[in-house]
Amino acid sequence: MNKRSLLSLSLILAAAAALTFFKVPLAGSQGLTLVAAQVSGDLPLADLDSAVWQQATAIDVPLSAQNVVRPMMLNTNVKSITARALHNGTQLAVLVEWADDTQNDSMVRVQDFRDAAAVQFPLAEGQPFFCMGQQGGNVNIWHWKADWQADITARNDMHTLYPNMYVDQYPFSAAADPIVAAPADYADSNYLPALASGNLFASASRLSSVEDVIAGGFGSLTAQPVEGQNVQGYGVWAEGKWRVIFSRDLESTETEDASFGAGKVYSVAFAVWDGANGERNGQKSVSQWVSLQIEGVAASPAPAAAETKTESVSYEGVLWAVVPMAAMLLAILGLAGLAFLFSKLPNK
Amino acid sequence: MSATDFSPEGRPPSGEPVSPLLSWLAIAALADWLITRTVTRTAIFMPKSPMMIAVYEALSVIGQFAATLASLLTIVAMLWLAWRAWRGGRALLLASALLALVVFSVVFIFVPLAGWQAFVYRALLWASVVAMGREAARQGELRVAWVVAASAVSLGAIHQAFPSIGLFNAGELCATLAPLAIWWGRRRARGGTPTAYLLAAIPALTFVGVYFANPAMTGIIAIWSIGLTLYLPWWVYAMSLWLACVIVVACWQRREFASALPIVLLAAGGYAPQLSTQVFLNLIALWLLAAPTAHSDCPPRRAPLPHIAFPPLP
Repeated sequence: MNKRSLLSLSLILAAAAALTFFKVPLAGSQGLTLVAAQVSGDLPLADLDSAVWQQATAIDVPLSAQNVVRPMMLNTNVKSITARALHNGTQLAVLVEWADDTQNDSMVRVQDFRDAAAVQFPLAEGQPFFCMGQQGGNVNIWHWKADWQADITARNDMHTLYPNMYVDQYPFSAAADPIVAAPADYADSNYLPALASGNLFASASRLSSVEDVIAGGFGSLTAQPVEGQNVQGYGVWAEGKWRVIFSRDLESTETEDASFGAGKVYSVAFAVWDGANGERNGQKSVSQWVSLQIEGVAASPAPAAAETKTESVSYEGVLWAVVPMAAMLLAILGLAGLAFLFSKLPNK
Repeated sequence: MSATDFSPEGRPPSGEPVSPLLSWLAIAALADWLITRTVTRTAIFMPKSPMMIAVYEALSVIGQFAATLASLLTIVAMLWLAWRAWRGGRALLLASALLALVVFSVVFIFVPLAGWQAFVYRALLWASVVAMGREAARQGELRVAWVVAASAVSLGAIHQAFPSIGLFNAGELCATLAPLAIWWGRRRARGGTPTAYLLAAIPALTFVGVYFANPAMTGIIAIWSIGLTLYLPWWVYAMSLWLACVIVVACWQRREFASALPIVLLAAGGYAPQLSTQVFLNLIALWLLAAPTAHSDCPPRRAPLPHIAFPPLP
């Protein structure tokens, strides 16, 4: 290796070390990007036909059967979803649509399975495994369930589907109607242990059709506590299509929640279950990671700026803006130097 | 191109040196692929002791450095290819497309690939492949191999623009057959020693063993590592891996490192890649296949030639 080559490669190594240290990326994503369009005013969180949704560019995200871990089903029904996203600086809303011939919104009978959809965000930097994350790479999952959506309107129970059913008695309850015993009929909720322990599935009433959960690999799905359930959902099935809106505040102070900021890019993945096909748990259609860009300008640290307006300059923000730019400048100068050196190489 | 560039059989002289830029790129890309995208991703499924966590973190740092180095060298190599294509005077389309791809890739670090920008970017990618195809059509040995490899790259890119499982599977078939086509095209590699075939069988047999021990996990690692879903019969992938290793080992034995670069870069780039660096690795590999003697940027060590003019690109 001649001296020029050695010098060039030394420069490149130094530049690579600097770029690695300052975490300056040099590679761009080649995949899909879902852009959360910035709009003013309230988001249409329960209006699927709002014209505001047209301000967001829809992307088709291909899905494939989860074929990594049991239980798996290789012939899942949903092959793609259409996604849109909006934000107004305070809230984020994601609209997911997919074709489904049947509406399955009851889980009362053991032979029934629900339609459902999930949106997943990494909690750590980078992209963990797209199927529910990995050890050291937790994900925040917003899991919309069609039966929970139906429960908000009118809770389904055994007597809804089997009106002629008969029950001798519900022990420890003082139900006026012996056939229908509501949780309120129990003087001591410990006799309903799932409800008493805060299990969302046993909740007497639904505040949201979305369960806010975290996972760090297969078999690690964990519901956030009731007070941490801060994702709203709204879904409607019509004409062979589900349309579901997920919404939440952009920023969250909970460590188990993904938090978003304008002008930044995150990763998002989708999953869909078709209840009519018996899809549940790991038997689902999943997407790979898709980039999620929150449109707008990245904000400087807001509280500090508001409280110390006279200073008006966020030195940390400037530092984080200048250092990568300086690193890029260094890299570009290095490239120019290399180009010069290459131009001086003899033609042999 | 000078007539003295080639042996009477129309091949570059034995023991030809390889450009330091490309050899460093190959090393960095291999390290990125094997460490970042294979070993560390395999380790995420393992319960970790404190010792293993320390090793894992060290590997991650090394992998990040290798990834950055590979990205940097890839950009330099793309600019170098553009410069050489432009210098030849007959490949302005290729030079412009490569240069624009580099500029776009840097822009897409800050602005996500979407809308018309994504269309233009992918159109540039396809234009680059087509422009290289003109050069590949001129040389006979690896013409078929180039078409197979270029089909894999193109189908993967088309799938990312217009998702279709049919396109994806067709591209994966091409990507899997590419080593076979390259092996078939390289007559000297096919004449590798029995040792080369035996050594190359080790990774292939390892793959078969791992596949039969845990096919689901092997599929995960394959997708993460190289982008292949393993939808084809297992022996197709085993054969492909075996022949790819035969090419590399045979070239290593003959001290013809440059001849192994395309297969190494194609593997490191992977199928339907997710990052611009990996796409560029595939493009560089296609360029090396299209102009197999153009990667030599140093004078031969054993028998210096009076004059080496790099072959002008179209």
